[in-house]
Amino acid sequence: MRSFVIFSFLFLSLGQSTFAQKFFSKNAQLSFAAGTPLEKIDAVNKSGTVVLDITTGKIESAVLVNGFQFDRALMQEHFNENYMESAKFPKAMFKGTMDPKSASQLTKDGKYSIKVSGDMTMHGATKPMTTTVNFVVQQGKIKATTAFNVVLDDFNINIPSLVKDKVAKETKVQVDADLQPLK
Amino acid sequence: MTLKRIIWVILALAVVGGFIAYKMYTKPHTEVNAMNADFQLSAAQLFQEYSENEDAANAKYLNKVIEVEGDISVINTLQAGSSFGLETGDPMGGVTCEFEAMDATNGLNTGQKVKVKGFCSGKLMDVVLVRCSIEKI
Repeated sequence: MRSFVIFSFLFLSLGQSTFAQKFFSKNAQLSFAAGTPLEKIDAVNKSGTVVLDITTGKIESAVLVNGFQFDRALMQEHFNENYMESAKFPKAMFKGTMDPKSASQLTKDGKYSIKVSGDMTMHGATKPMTTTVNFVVQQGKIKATTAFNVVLDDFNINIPSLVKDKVAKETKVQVDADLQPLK
Repeated sequence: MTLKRIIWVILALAVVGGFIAYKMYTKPHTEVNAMNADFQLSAAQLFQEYSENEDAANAKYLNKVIEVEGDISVINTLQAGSSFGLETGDPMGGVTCEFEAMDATNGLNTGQKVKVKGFCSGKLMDVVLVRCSIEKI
């Protein structure tokens, strides 16, 4: 009996350490390109968060709008003050789900492409969104990357007519995250 | 005033206007080390204020220059720039300090006490300070 207890205890603790249920990152890189051939408008955010639950297939990501860094200070100012109104709407986030069966594969090393659907919220508006996330699983760590387009009109982001030709109507967004197991 | 003179005035205004517009367009980022800190506190204190009331903390700290002191809990590997986290006593939350330079965290170790100045951009899991500069190691 005693050895059984010890054995099951060992087995349980082993099980917990090898199969993490949740993965996260606090320094996901989120970059976007909103330029046109007339003007380069690129920005990078280095401290996005991602939380992934591989048993339920839930995935959440958030970013601080004020954290986007532009090459040009004036662009950064306009982005925060006029377009994104980041003092009023400091965060942008995505909450989505994937098929739990696909998500459960992420315990094994390999490369996976999984469709994720959910809602994106920014600038006070929420819109449904679907994207394909590429996962690379290696030694208990998960690297997730995805790219998608955001239509500025969908989120009530008004670009003044004076600069309308310089700002793309659809912004290309790229996300890179190295997820660690949550202990 | 002759027509010629009017054309000259317009041209001069256009040149001055163009110059001002160009200066504004290419103005540099405000560097944090040239600014005085609006608030000085420990990483744990800043995190606690954000955890207790995020809206109030944002009203107080968002986009302000904050100088925090704390122990480095993690040094991150990034594709662009660099960053580290400061200990706050909370196992899940810290204060992330971002740097534009790739080599800003070189030579630093976890557990080391540092004083950092940066612009507060809010809180997700961590409170995030951007465009930081190290004040004291």
